[in-house]
Amino acid sequence: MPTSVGVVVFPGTNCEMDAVTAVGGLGGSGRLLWHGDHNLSGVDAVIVPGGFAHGDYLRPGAIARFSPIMGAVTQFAAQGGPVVGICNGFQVLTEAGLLPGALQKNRGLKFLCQPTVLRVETCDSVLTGRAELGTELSVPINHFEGNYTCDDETLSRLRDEDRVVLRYVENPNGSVDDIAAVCNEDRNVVGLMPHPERACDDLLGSSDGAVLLASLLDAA
Amino acid sequence: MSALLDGRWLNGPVLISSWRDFVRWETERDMGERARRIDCEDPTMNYNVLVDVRLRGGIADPAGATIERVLPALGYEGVTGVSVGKTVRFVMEAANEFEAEARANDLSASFLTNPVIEDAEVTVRPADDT
Repeated sequence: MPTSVGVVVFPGTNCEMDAVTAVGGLGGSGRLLWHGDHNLSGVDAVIVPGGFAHGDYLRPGAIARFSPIMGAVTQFAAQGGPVVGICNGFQVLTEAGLLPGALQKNRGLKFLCQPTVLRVETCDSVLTGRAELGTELSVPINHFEGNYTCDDETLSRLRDEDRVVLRYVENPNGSVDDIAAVCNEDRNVVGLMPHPERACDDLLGSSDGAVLLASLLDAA
Repeated sequence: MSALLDGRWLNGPVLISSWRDFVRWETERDMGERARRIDCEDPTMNYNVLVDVRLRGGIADPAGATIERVLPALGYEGVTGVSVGKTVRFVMEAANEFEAEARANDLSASFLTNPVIEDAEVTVRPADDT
């Protein structure tokens, strides 16, 4: 049986098929989960993909956290299940309190759609178990509100506990401490602004994202 | 003499056989109606709530900074501290102003603002009935 990865779909999500396709290409099986469902249908891992959940009204992720499926995702995460939030999914996980901090508007107020270079800062997370420490990966970003911010106390905790998962080599959006991805205390919930699912085939300009999603399949 | 008066008996049908009976019946009816009216009367009032959402101190405000930077070019010198936030307005039912304030503050903190980056000033005023 291939590893089953649930991909959560809110009204306004638009990266779900990219995630399903990327997971399928790595030998897993992507399965769409509607936001109105109350359970995860027995999947082995969860991806909260990119897009504009509930139109991003009020704040990105502010309304998505009230969707029925988020209760099941929270419970799954509390039991140690691997959960990865990509882009809007990262924003949803911060609003839901599964990850610390918040995503602000980009420094410079521009929507950014470009390749970025990421450095792997820890291999101890469900997203980077297969990667090598210090490896640089080319993965695109595609966001307006990707400027990671948190208070000083949270930042020093993230550093001390080795919870900064990925950093931008050249900071595109003003994120504090060049942070591109963080994980929770138990290291089974990771949020990142770049899109690894769009960098899983050389045809797309980079296949560097594959090692990240392959790590997620390993962790499941 | 006896009469059934339009069927609106307070405690079941009453046999009215004298003027005194009628007066007593009428008094009980009026008192009952007054009590019913008090029961049915909506005990809540409407309050206009304004939630002024701002970025917390220390959080970069690129929109405010950009506006401030262009002001001198438009001839507005000496304008500082520009910050851009958002406002949310709604009407809230509550028994009194204290309850309205408490519920509006709770709503603001739990949903309308993200405490990591924002805080808010909540203003509650009785809604104008006119």
